[in-house]
Parts: sequence; structure tokens; C-alpha cells
Amino acid sequence: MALGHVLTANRLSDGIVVFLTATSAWSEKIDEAVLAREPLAAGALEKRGAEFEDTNLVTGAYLIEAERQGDAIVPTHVRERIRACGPTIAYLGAQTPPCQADAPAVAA
Amino acid sequence: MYRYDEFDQAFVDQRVEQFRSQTSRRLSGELTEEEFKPLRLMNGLYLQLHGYMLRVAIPYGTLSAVQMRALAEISEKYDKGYGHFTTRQNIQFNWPKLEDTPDLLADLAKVEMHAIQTSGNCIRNVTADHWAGVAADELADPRPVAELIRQWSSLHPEFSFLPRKFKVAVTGAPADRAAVKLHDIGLRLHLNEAGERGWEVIVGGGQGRTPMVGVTVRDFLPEEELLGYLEAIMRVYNLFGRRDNKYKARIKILIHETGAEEFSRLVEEEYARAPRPSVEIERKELDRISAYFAPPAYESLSAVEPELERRKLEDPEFARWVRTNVGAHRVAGYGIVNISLKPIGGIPGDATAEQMRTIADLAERFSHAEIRVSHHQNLVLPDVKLADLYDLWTVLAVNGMGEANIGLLGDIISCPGLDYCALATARSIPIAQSISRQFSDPQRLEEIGPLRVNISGCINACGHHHVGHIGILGLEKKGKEFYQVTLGGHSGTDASIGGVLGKGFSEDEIAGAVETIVDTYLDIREDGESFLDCVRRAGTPPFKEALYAPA
Repeated sequence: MALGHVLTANRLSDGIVVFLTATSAWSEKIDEAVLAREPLAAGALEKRGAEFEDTNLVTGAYLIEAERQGDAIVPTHVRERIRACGPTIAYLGAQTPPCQADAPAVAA
Repeated sequence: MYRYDEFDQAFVDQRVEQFRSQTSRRLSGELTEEEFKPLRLMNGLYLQLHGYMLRVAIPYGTLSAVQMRALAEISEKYDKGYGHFTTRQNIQFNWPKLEDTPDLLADLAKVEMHAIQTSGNCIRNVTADHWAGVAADELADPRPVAELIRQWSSLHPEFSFLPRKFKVAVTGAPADRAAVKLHDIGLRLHLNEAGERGWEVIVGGGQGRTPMVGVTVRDFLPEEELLGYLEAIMRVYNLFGRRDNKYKARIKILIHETGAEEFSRLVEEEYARAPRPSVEIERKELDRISAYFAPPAYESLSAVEPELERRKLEDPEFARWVRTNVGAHRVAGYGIVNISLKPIGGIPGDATAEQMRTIADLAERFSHAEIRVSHHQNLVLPDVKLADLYDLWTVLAVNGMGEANIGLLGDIISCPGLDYCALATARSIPIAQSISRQFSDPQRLEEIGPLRVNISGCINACGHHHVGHIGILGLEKKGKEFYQVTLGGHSGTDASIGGVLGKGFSEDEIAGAVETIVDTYLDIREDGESFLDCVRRAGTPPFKEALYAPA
């Protein structure tokens, strides 16, 4: 079971959901995030998040539980899956297909 | 409709520049998020699930074609080309950038709009009957009073830090289309035998996690006393409303805990004590405001329009749309056109920029350039000549807005739910879509008759599920969404809160559960009995039996 934690936040300037990568950058793609498997590593991510909040690049940083599935990183909770992936509906004016956040993240 | 005077415009313009400065200080780091958050909320800017969301005020749901066109343009310039009309008669944009918001607000200000009173613990944007001024059953247009309350309450220094948000709704008609019994204060107009105007004052209604139907504290408050009396209510609430617990801070809880009689006594005591605003000035001010709402120059027309009757005979789809979507106008030869923003399988309340422009064009061509937003998340063209209905309908139909389902099962109210909202516990839009697809046959919808399905994605009840004839509440357990069903809610004059039926349903089961409920109704209804009347007569047992009894 490759469960771990990913650090997420909203970018201050435009509010878009972002994830902290291994190179301490913020990516809009959760699959590019660093997945902390150890509690210590997760703690370090949180600390990095607070630093980025202090420099006003992001706001509201917090850890979410997620799992690596092949090349993808999939959050455990439906809320975080939708947050990572976008609305699950084909909204008007959308250029992208709806997100498939319905699939259970963690195999029972 | 109301137009800004120089003071209004200066006030809104200054507010934009103030927010521009606050935003730039936030972006540079001078302000922390903690410091900035209340400031952005005072300007309608939330941080939601996927990003910022801006809620724009549409006072009492009335806007002009020019304003609608500006909203369309804003949705393209700063957002993704669409907007969401809400159950509070406002519009929300889902994707604005913080750095763009001051410019967005400046563009709004150019058409006399803003996002004040759409968030925070203040008196919120006043809502009203979306048929105000045109309904056949109306005593008088309630919007001058709504506008007076808006001006009085906007940034009112004494009421800017209330225990919790505060919502006021007004109606000038006996048939309640504004859900006045489900607001912190609801106002209903009455006329006495001398023809004088007085307002029934209903206090302490609301939905959310503790739904309550409001209680009448005054049957007939003379109109000139209105603001003074509202002030007394606000003072009692401001003083005694709970601040220790956010979930017990609304005025309904205060009334529930102190008792309606004692609350009423406190208000009367405060009212007797307080210095009242000068009655004369208020009358003058109300007259000044009323002039803005003077009815347009109606033509003298026959109540029966032969051209309309011919078209109805020729085109049954059009005839159905006229039956379901056109309301009775107080002037002969005119109709109130209700435009459904609930296409089959669509997102309730969403409209593209292109659709907004089409509505603006249609309003200019057919309805004195005025548009309304209903709390059912639909739009209204209030003043359409019966002779113009067919032309209007054909334009609506080709633009995806010709659905004949107003007040029927397809006209589902739904909050944004977990697809957008940071507070939601479950998705609500996909549920609305699956029910809407399940009941896509317009003929069947008409046979079922008036039936309101309301869906909320959390207990805060933005989707009005407590007052849905069938209410659906989305919840979550161990990371899985499920849906609780209530029956018998209603937001009209005889308002009631729905009762929970039983165990919840999964996303895949919910449309089937609604189907079972509807089938049960069709099975047991008496001649001409509406769904609501049937539930009120038969109670929940037949429905529970159908839903939960082992097969």
C-alpha cells in the first residue's frame, strides 16, 4: 500500500489549487507532487508550506492523504479528488472534459 | 428600475479603489491572509474548492439588459465564459483571479453593480418576489421598500458585525413566491380597509442546519414605521443573539431560545424606547425611490390574443411552454415569461455568456429591457406582450433555454455542491442531472404536476432542500457520498419543513428513489390532488413503504 501525504494549497494570485513538488515548486498537477510516505517527511512538507505562505506565494496549505497508483497520485477522500481534478460535471464553457473523481481511490 | 445617483456611484467607485489597495497590499505581503480574508469577504470574494469565487449582488433579483450584457462580458474577460445564478437571486463567478478582481469590480461599478452584502455577518442583499410589479395577484410592487431597506442596511455601521448573517425578503402579493417565512425577516404587504399599506413582519425563519418557519410579530405595521421597527429587531438581535457558537447565532435560535412572545416583547420595548427616524423624510424618500419603479407604458391590449391562440393550436410544444412557463400578468395582453435555466441534464442556474447576451437582447426587444432572477435559479422577462411570445420562445428554444418545466419536477433547485463548494459534503449537481434525465419527458412532467425537487450538498441548505416537496441532502460517511430524502417541505404561504423519510441512498440509487416516490404519488393521489397536498394528506407511510419495504 503506497499511502502517504501530499501538500496542497491555493495559489494566492489566482486561487488555483496547487501541489508541492519534489523540487519545491508548486504544480497544478497532483501527479507531479511529492508523496511523503513517512510522518517525518510529511512534517517537513508542512513546514515548507508555511514558508511559502509567509512569502505569499500560496495560501491555506494543508496535507492530504493520497496514494500512488502507477504514474498517478490519487487522494483518499472524494473531496480532495474533486479538488485535485476539477468539477466532475461538464460545465458550460468548459474546454476540458469533466473530471473522473468518482472512482474509489483506494482499493478495498 | 432603480438608478444610482451621484452618491451611490461615488460610494461604489470608492469601494472599488479601497479594495484595489487592499488587494495590492495582500499580493505584496503587507496584509496576511488572516487580515485580508474579512476584507475580501466584504467584497463578495470567497476562496472555494478550486479557487476564488465572486458573488455579485443583484438587489431583489432585478437587473437591466445592459447589466446582463456586462455580466456576460465579465464572465468572458475574467472567468470561463459562464456564470451561476443562485438561490439568493445573485450571480456567482467560479474562476476569477484575485489579481483581476479589482478590475472586475470596476467593470461592475460601471453598470451600477457591486459585490457588497453578499458575504459576512451583515444584512445581506435583500430578496423579493421575482414577479414583483407585474404579478396579477399583487397588491403593490414591493421593490421600492426592498430598495429602501437596501440603502438603509448597506454598510450600516451598527449592523456590520452582527452575530451572524441576516437575510430579508419582501413580497407584495398574497401568494408567497419569495419564501418570506424562511428568512431572518420576511415582509408581506397588506392593505387595510382604508386602502392603507401595512407590512406583516415575520421573524426567525430560515433553513440551514436548524430549519424553522418564521413567526409573525406584527400583522400590520404601518409602512412609515418600517425602518424604525426593523431597527428595533436588529438591535434586540445584535444585543442578545448568541456569539459563542456560530451554529446557534442566527436570529431563529434567539427566538427559539427566548420564546416568540418574549422576543416580541423585547422588540416592542426597544421600539418604544428608540428615537424613530422622521416619518416625513422616509415618506419623501420612499416616494423618490418609488418613482424609479414606475410601470412602463403598457399598450391597451385585448386579454385574448388570436395570433397566440393560433400558434398554440399549431405547435403543441409551444402551447406546453406557454402553459408551464408564462405567468399571469396584471395588465391584459401581457405575460410574465419565466425562462428555465434547467435544461434536461444541465446544471441548474448556469448560463453561458452567449445565453446571457441572448437574454439581454430579448429583454430589450420584448420586455422593456428588464430582467429578473428567481430564487429558483431561473430568469424572468416580466413584461412580454402575448403577441410576442412565439417569437420569443423560438429564440429561447434554439439557445437551450426553451425548456417547459417551470414549477415542475425538471425545475430542480441545486446548490453548487462538492463540485465547487468548500463547505459541501457531497455533490449535488450530478444528482440534479440524473433526476432531470430520468424525468425528461415533458408530457409526463405535466401529468405529475407541480413538484419541487430541491438538492443541497450539505446541511447549510443553500439548495433549499428543507422546503423541497422532495428534498435531497447530500452527506458523506467514510469518504463516500450519500443522499437523505425529505418529503413535504414547502416555501409558499403555507410554508413547511420537510420530514426525513429514512435511510439514505447512494448516487446511483437516488433518481430511482425519486421515481418510486413519484409512482407512489401517482398511485394514491386523489382527483386533482397535487404532490404536496397528497403528502400532507397521506403522510409519509405510503412512501416509506414503497421505498424501504423488502421486495
